[in-house]
Amino acid sequence: MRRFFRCLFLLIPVTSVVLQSCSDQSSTVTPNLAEYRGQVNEDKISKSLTQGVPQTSTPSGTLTIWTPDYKGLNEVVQDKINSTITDLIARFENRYNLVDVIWKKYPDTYIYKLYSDRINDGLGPDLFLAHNFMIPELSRNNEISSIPRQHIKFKSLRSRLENSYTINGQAYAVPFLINIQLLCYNRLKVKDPPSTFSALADLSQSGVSTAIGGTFLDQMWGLSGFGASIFGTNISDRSKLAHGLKGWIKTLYQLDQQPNFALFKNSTAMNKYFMQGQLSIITCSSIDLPLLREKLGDETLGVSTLPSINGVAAHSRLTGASFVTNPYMNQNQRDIAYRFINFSISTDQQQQIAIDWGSLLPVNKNAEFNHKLLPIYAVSKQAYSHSFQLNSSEINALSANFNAIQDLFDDATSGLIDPDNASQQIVALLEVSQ
Amino acid sequence: MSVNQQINLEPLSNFVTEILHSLQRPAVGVQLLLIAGSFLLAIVVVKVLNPIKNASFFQASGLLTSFFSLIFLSVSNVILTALLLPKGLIADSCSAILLLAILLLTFRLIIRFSHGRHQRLVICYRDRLVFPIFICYCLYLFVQTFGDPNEFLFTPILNLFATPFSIADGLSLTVGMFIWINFSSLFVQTLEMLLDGQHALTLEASKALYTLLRYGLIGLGLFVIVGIIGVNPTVFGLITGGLSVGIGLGLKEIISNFLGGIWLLIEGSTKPGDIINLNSLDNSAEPFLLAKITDCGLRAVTVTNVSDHSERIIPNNIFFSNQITTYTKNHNIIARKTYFGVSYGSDPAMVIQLVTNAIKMHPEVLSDPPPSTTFIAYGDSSLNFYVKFFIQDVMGGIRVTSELNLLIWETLKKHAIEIPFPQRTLHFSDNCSIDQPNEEGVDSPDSNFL
Repeated sequence: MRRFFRCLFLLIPVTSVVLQSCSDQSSTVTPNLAEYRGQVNEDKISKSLTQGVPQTSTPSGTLTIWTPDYKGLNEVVQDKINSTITDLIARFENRYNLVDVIWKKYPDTYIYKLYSDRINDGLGPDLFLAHNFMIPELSRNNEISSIPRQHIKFKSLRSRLENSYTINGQAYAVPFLINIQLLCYNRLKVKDPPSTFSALADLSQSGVSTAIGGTFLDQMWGLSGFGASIFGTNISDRSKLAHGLKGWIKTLYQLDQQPNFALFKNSTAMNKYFMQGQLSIITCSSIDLPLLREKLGDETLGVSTLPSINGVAAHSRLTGASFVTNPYMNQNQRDIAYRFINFSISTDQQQQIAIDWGSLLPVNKNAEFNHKLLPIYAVSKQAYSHSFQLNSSEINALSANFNAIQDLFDDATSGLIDPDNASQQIVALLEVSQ
Repeated sequence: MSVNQQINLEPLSNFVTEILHSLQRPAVGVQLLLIAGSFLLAIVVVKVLNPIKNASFFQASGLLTSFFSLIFLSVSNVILTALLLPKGLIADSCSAILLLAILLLTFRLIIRFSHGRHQRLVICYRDRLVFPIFICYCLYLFVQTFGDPNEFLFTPILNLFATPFSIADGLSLTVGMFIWINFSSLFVQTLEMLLDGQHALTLEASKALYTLLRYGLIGLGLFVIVGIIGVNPTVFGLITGGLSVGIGLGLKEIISNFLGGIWLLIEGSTKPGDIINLNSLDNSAEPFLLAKITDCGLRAVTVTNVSDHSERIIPNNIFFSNQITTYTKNHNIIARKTYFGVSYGSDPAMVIQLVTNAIKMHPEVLSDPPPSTTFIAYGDSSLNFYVKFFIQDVMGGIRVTSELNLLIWETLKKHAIEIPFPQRTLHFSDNCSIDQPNEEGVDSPDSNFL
C-alpha cells in the first residue's frame, strides 16, 4: 500500500506536466497558477484525491452574460463595445479555463423587458450590462441583487461613480464603462479649441460652424455658469435654479440665431455632419470617439473639455454601463460572477480596454497612463473632475416627467415659448417628481 | 469544405448548457419540483381516489387531471408568492395546462354533438393537427424560457449544398410540412362541408376540384417552405437535373402516376362516383364487372367492386393509358337486356306488344330511349325474344332486370301465353335389358352402356 502511494505521489507531478504539454491552450509568458491547477484538477486521479475538499481557488462552471445591442448607436461604436466584451471574455476564459462564458446580445429595445420576464421565472443571465439610468428601476423591482462590498473591489473605482451604483447605501451595480461629454473639433478648421463659451460664440460668429446637441440632460453642462445646479450635492433652490435655467436657455437661444450655430436634438445627426466636415465644433461623447476618429483621422480630430461659462467650468453628466447581478444565482454562479466583475474592473483589464478604445476613461482609478502618450486620457480626466453622476433618486425624479421637461426645453431654446416661463415649469416638474 | 466547417453544433450545446445552468439555480429547481409534484398529485387523485363517480366524460378526456393540476399549481403559486420566490415557470405551466384544458373540453363537446363522418373528422384533426400544434407551442415555450429561440432555431448548424440549414429549416420541412398538409386537408374538407350543395358543380366534379385544391395548397406550402429556407438556386438546379435522370430511370412510374392523376382530375374523364367496367382494365375479370370510383388520388384511383364491395387501388397511369368503359361520362344511363321464349303456338306480334307495354309501365325504365322487344330466333322449343331497356340507376341493372322478368312472367301468364321449357323423350328398344346391381353393390361391366 505504501509503495502504491509513493507511486501515486510520483505520478501526480508527472501527469501534471504531461497534461500541461498536451493542452491546447497556448503558453503565456506569465505563469498562470490557477490555470495549471485547473488542468491538474481535471485529472481523475487528482479529483479522487481532492474529494470532499471545497475547490475555492479554481472556479468551474458556466457564466451567462447579457449585453444590450444599442439600436441607436453607430455600427462602429457597437462593434467596439462588442469586441471589448469578446476580448474580455476570452481573457477571462483563458485565466479560468474551467469556466465557460455564454454571452448573449439582445436589442436594447426589449432587453430590459426580456430580463424582467426571465427574472420572474428565476432564470436570466448571471450578469447583465445595464445602462446606469436603469439601475434604480431594476433595483426597485427587485430584479437585481445588492452586491456585498467585501466581494468586489469597489475601492479601486473612481469616487464620482459611486452615485451610479449606490442605492440607500447599498451597492447594486459595478461600473464597467464611463461616457464623458467632451468638445470635438476639426483641426483643419480650428487651430485651438475654445476654452470659454464666449470664445465658442466668437468662433461661431467668425464663420466656424458649431453645434451643441443631445437631450435636456446632455445640455445641462452650461447651467453651472449661471450659478445653478440641477443635480448633485449642491442643488440650487427653486428661484436660483429657475433663474439659472432661464439664463442658459436664453444663451442657447441667442447663439442658435447665429447663422453658423445649430442646436441638435439628435446627436447622431450632429455627429454625421461633423464627420462630413459640415460642422467644425460639436459637443461629443467619449464613447463616440472611435467612430469620429475612424472617419476624420487621428490628425484631424481634436478633443477638448467643454468650454467654461462665465468663468465656471462646465459640469457635464457622467453616463455609462454597469454590471448588475441576478438575484437567483446559486453560490457557485455568484462566485464566478463576482470573479468576472473583479476581472473586468481590474487595473490591467481597464488599461487594456482604454488602450483598445483610445478614448475611454477607465473606471479603475489606478489605471494610469502617460499623458503625453495618450493625450485624450488627460482631457477625459479633466472633464471627469467637473462632472456629476445622477443618483437613484435624481434619476427617478427625472424619468417621471422627462418627456415633458424635454419638450419645454426644446420649445424654449427654439424661441417658441418664453424662457422664463419654461424654466419655471421645468423646475416645477422636477419638484413634483421629487 | 471539411466536416467541421459544415457542421456547427454550438447552438445546440449552448442551449443544453443554458438548461443545465438554469437547473442549478434553487429557484428554478423548486419551481420544477412543484410543477412535477402537482402533475403527479393530480394523476394520483384522479386515478386512485376517483373523486367524481361516473364522470367518464371528464376522465376520458384528461380534463379532470388538468383541472386538479391547475388547482395544485395555483396553490404552489400562492406559496411561492408568500415566500417572495420567483413563480414565472409555474404561471407558464398554468397557462399551458389551461390552454390544454380548453382544447380538451372544446373537442370533447364537439365530438359529443357530432356524428358519423363529422365525428371521425374532428377526432382525426384533433390528433393530427391541433395537438401537434399545441405540442410545438409548448416546445417553443420551453426553448424560449430556457434559451434563446433565435440562436437555437435560426443559427445554421449544417452547410449542405452551399446552403446553410438551421434547426428551424429542418422543422419547417418536417413538422411544418406535416402540419401544413393536415391544415390543407382540413381547410378543403371544411370548405367542402360549407359549400355542400351551394354550387353548380356536380358532386363528382366538386370532389375532383377539392382534391386539386388540396394538392395545390400542399404544393404551394412546399414551395413557400423551400423559398423560406432559401435553397441555393444553382444547387437546386443541379439537384433537379440529377433528379431528372433518377426520374427517367427509377421514378418513372411514380411520376407517371402523379402526372396522370393531375391530368385525370383536370380533364374530369374519371371522377369519384363514376361507374366503370373493370373488365376493360383487367382481362381476367368477368366480362361485366361494375365498379364505382370512390376516390381519385394523385397516385392511384380507388374503385369499389359492386358485386362483392371489395376495393381496388389502381395506379393512375393505367387509367391514363388504357381504354376505360364508363357509364357515367356524359349520360347516366345504361342499357340492359333480358331474354325469354314463348311456345310455338303463340302470336309473336302480340307477345311483342304485350311485353313492350308491360315494360314501359316500370317506373325506372326510361321512355327515351324507348324499350323494345325483338323476336330474335326460332329456338328448339320456343320462339325467342329479347327485351332491351334503359335505366338511369347504373348500379341497379340486376335489380331492375329481375323486376322486369317478373313483370313479363305475369303478363304472359295473364294472357295464357306459355313459356315452354326444353323436354327430352327417351325411346328404349325392345331387346334392351336393364341389369340389376349385383349383391356387392358393384355395377356389372355392362351397366355403363346406358
